[in-house]
Formats: sequence, structure tokens, C-alpha cells
Amino acid sequence: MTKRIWRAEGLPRRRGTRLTVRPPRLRPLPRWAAHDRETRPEGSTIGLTKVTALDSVAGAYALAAQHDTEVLCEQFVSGDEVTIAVLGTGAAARALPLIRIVAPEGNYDYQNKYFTDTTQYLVPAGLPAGEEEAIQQLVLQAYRVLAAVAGLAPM
Amino acid sequence: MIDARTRSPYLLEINTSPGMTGHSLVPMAAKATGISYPALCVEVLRHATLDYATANAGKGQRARQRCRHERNPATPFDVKLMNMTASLLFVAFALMVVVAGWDGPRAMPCLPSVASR
Repeated sequence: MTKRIWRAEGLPRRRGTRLTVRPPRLRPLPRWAAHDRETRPEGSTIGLTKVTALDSVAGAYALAAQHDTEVLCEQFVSGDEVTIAVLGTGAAARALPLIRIVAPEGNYDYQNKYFTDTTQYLVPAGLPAGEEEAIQQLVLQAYRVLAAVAGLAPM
Repeated sequence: MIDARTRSPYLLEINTSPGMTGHSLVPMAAKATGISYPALCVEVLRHATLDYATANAGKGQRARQRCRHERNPATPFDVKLMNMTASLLFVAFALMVVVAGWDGPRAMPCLPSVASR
């Protein structure tokens, strides 16, 4: 739902699709799926698989479907992962400094999220000049859109 | 995610109840900008509202029910008296049960209607 709202607002999110109930028919594939993608139950890192070859899609789906009836199949983006906290509501909402998440071998999965302590959390995030501020603005916009849809605060 | 090749950002998800433990990220970000953990908690609580109190005040039955306490904070005296009487009666009955078991009312001759049976 979150992603559909962001899409409607023209906010950048990964290309993806929900695969519901029945095992997916993955041919013909949309063009973005020709690249790496990951499948996972909605909103979780449990049951997540990074899919790099077409013949492993069915197995990845089966694993994710054990945890939820809705499975997301999304474009894989390789790069820096950051997390941004937002405090406050409406026009007074403000974004806190970015934290860059550096997981072992770029694999921020359930295990590395909660059980190992090899994941590094960098603050200040050390991004190129101007990038942090731009992302903070993007996040505030994404936050206000969702808050407005949820009826929590005026935009 | 920030695409390493193009440096374009992608939104992944929003977490509306993030962790607030010693190794959680929201307290970490707050600390980096000089907000202590207690101050962060107060800041979060300062923005807390009832789900329907601000957005839907005065609209619909459910909103009215949820907002009733806020709109009529002062309870009339007679209602208070009634509530107090009911509470006292309940406490008295509970005491009887505790002191004399379930046969309490029967075991107490001062309560004529029950004791006479």
C-alpha cells in the first residue's frame, strides 16, 4: 500500500510487483526483471531471497510464501543503504541525520539485522556533499504524503 | 537505497513503530543531533494524539465517542455521586466475600432480605 501511494505521488521507489496466492507465472517478464531482483513476504526480511537467475524464482517464491500470502518481487538495487528518522508532524516534521547501514557483504538480512554485531551503523553517514540533505527532503515528502493519506496530519 | 551507479535514491519502506532499545537506530540518530534518549521520548509523546481526536473531531459517532472525554472533561456532581455509591457498594460486597466467603450475605443477619432465607 505504501509503495502504491508513493508511486501515485511520483516518489522514487524500486520497480516491483505483488505476487498473490498462486505461484507466479513469470514469463513474459517485464524489462526491469531482466536484472537482479529479490522476493520476500511483504514488509519483512524473513523469507527474503536475492534472485540472480530465472530458474531460482520458483524456489524464492515458495520460501517467501511460507510467511505471507502476499509476496513482493522487486528490482534489486546495489548501493548504500541508509535509514532516516523523522520527528514531529505536518509542517513541523524534521528529519534526523542519516545513518548508513553497512552489512557484511551488503547483506542486511534478518540474521544481520538482529543477531550478529558485524553490521556497522555509520553516523555521520559520510555521503557526498548535498546528498544527505536531498535525501532528507525526499523522506519528509514521502512521510507527509503517507501521513496525509492516513489522516494523521495536514500536509 | 542509493544506487551506487547513478546515486539516485530509492524509498524502501516506512517504519511507524521503530525500535527504541539501546541498539536501535532512531535513538542513535537522535543522539547524533544532541537529543538525549529521555528528550527523544518526550518529543515523541508531545506529538501523540488520539487517532480520531484531531482529524475527525465532531464528525461521526465513533469520533464523538472517542472525543467525549476531551470535550466534557467535567463530570456532573450527581454522576460522580452515583459512581461513588456504586463503587462503595461493590467494595462492601467484595469485603463480605473476602471475610465470610460466598455465603457472606447469608452469614450476616444485618442484611434482612438475604439472611432470612
